[in-house]
Amino acid sequence: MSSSKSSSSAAAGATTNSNAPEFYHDLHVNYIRTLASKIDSKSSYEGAVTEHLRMSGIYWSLTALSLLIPPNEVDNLMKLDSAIVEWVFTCYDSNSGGFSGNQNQDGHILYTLSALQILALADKLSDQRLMDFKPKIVKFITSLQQPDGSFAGDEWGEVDTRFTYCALSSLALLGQLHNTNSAANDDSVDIDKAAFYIASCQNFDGGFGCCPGAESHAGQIFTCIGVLSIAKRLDLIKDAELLSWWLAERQCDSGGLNGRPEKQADVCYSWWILSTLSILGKVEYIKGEKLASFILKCQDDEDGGIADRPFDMVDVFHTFFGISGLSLLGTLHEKEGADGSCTGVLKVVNYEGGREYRMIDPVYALPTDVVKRLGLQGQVMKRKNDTKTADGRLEHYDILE
Amino acid sequence: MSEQSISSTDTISLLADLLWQEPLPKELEITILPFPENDEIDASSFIKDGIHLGIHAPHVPLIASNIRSAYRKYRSIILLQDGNGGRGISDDIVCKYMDCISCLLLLCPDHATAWADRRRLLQLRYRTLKDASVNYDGLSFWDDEIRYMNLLFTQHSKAPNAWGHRKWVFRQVLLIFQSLLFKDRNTGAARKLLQWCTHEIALCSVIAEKYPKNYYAWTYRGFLMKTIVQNLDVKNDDNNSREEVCSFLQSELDFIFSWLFHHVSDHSAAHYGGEVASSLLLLQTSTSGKNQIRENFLLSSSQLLEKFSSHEVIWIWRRICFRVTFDSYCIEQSNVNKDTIRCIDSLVQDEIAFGTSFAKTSEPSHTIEKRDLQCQRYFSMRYLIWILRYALRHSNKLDSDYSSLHEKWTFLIRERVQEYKQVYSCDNDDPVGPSMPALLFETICYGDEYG
Repeated sequence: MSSSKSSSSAAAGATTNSNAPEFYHDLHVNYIRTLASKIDSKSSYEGAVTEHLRMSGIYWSLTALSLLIPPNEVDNLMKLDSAIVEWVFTCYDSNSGGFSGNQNQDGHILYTLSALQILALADKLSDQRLMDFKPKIVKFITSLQQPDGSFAGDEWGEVDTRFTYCALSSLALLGQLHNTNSAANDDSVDIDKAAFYIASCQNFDGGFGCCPGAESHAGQIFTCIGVLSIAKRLDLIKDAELLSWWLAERQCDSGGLNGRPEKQADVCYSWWILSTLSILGKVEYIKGEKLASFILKCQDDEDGGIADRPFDMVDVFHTFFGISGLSLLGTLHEKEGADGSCTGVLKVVNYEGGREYRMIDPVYALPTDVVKRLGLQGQVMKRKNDTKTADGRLEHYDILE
Repeated sequence: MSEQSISSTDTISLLADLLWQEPLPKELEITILPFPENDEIDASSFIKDGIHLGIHAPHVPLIASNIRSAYRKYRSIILLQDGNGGRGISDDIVCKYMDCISCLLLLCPDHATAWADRRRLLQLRYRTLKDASVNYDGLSFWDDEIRYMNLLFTQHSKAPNAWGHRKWVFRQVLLIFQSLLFKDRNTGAARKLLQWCTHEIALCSVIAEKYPKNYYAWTYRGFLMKTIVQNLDVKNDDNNSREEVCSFLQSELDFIFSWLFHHVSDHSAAHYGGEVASSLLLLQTSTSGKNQIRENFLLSSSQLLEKFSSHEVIWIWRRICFRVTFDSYCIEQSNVNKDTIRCIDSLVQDEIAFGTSFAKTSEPSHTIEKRDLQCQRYFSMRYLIWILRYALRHSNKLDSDYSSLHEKWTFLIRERVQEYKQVYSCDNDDPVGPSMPALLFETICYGDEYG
């Protein structure tokens, strides 16, 4: 098991209370491991209606698994190094220069990022095929930037802040983010303009929407703050305190987080909101203990996986974000004491002494060891009354003073 | 599941025929149909009853598989033949491909490539028609596409790519209108554009009613609203155009006022209402007109709070009303003098009195239960802190010396924070959510920016 640093708890009170279920580690590993055969089955409804976004589905399952078991076990279980990587390259669309959601489809920025994230997990970003495709991929991404700094998803011009995040994150993974000099090179991305466009999407309530003037939404907020972090322009946030307040108000009675006022709590917002608060240095604004309990109650205690809310059907999307949420809370990283007791209250089913989980990075949504290995850069805000960020997973990022 | 019982082509024919069968379908549902008795796809996998079109959910995996086989086949044919801007492709293939895509999207509405191929085929067809007739105006060309999308949205209202396609179609229509408007300032064209937008907005209302708080429907509505404002208010000296736009915006605002009474937790509607009000106040030139708008705005909010004071969104609507009103005074203040400062001061004072009346209500009664009372109290207290914070942060927009206001508001926000902390510590928790820790308010209250 590749060890990860045990972190000081990222959130105040991230330990779960005694009424929360245990974390069903083995069940979740088995759920993910058997997912492919279920999805690819001819009788699978979910498989039938999500075939076009298989690339993202694979990213979610692999990253979730990567947080639970060491890299070599991920490869053994999922044939990451071989079958999956080969499949990823079959989804390269030479017409557009981007990767598509499945074979014989058009390239799109969403799936380009998912493909690169999978290759990053597999440590295949230096694969010769990718080296050969890289100039066209960069050109594809660059071509999507609009005059106002925003990014379209593909040639058809639909703009969304998600696409800006995908574009900058993809360029960072390719090591091309800072090879820009917009004055000299028409083929480059104007990062500052991208950042200013994102800043224009901030609303009076502190949140961000999918475009200027659109309603604040926790998912869109993550993409916007992610962009500003990657671009190292968190200074463009007009009111980080108000944004943090807005995010804190997303916590419901159940302990779960919703994405907008008076919506139901949904496990996926454990990621969108916690990752944002991690970057802003405000994870303590959420009551971690209650959120952790909520996530744990969304587990399927028979077949594994995590659902959007308790008693609903599980899916890989929510499984990934639920596990990531627990990681950001520090719940997965509580250390066992010398006497065998778990200092974090959380008990892991079939816990093996000494198990340590990889941590998820809140900016790039990849394990932190992958982010560090690739030297990915970003920016975070300083935590109040602290000289550095509270969580070791962010220590390699610049801090906005 | 057994081997596919019918071919891909037959599957598409069955479904596509129903799409064109009179009366044309307006409602789609993927559900358990009564007739299919086994796993095989046949005519009973689909049903059309008047305007309702149903697809048997358990058959979806096999139906999708069939359609995809055909889709891949047609796609490769098109890519091979697409050497002359598509003009070499036979009409028969184009029609069959379009039917195939129409069927696929009914099951997979977020299939980006299928939407892209659909656009390519639409462009091809449109070009062909335009090449055939110089005077072809093209507006009616998009009717079938709009109808198809309206059908799709009855089942799939949350597919981003479907909404992206809707916007793309709208842009094609807008290009036609802009061309007409450019040729001459043809008020007929302007009126038609407004009509078209109004129909689109009506769709958003239908979807929002069926799928409350639909982010995409409301965002699209905001896009339409801005399009109207940008395209119809073309010249400052065109009072007719400006009046028409203001009238449209006022009707939208009235719609929101009414909508919120029946959809008290619809934050999307509240946000949209704020955008509309901001645009309306910018366009409104008379001071009395602006004052009327502000008054109605706050009145609508007061009426809502009288009935729904325990609802978070209704308090957020109040924040929006405050913000829009405050900002409109700040925008005006360059033309005015101390009157504006007095208006702002009065606004803040009135709001504090208003909010405090809810925060001070201490006993449950026959009209308000204990839980609702707690919610009301916390939401109103947060509201007071929120508006004071907003006023403090945005008072630097005021040209005049605002230091006395600044001092007063700083004192008030500290007082409110103390009160909140007191109530919070007694209750041991904020019942409307376990958040709002003291740290947050310490930062708001005692941060450097407030001195």
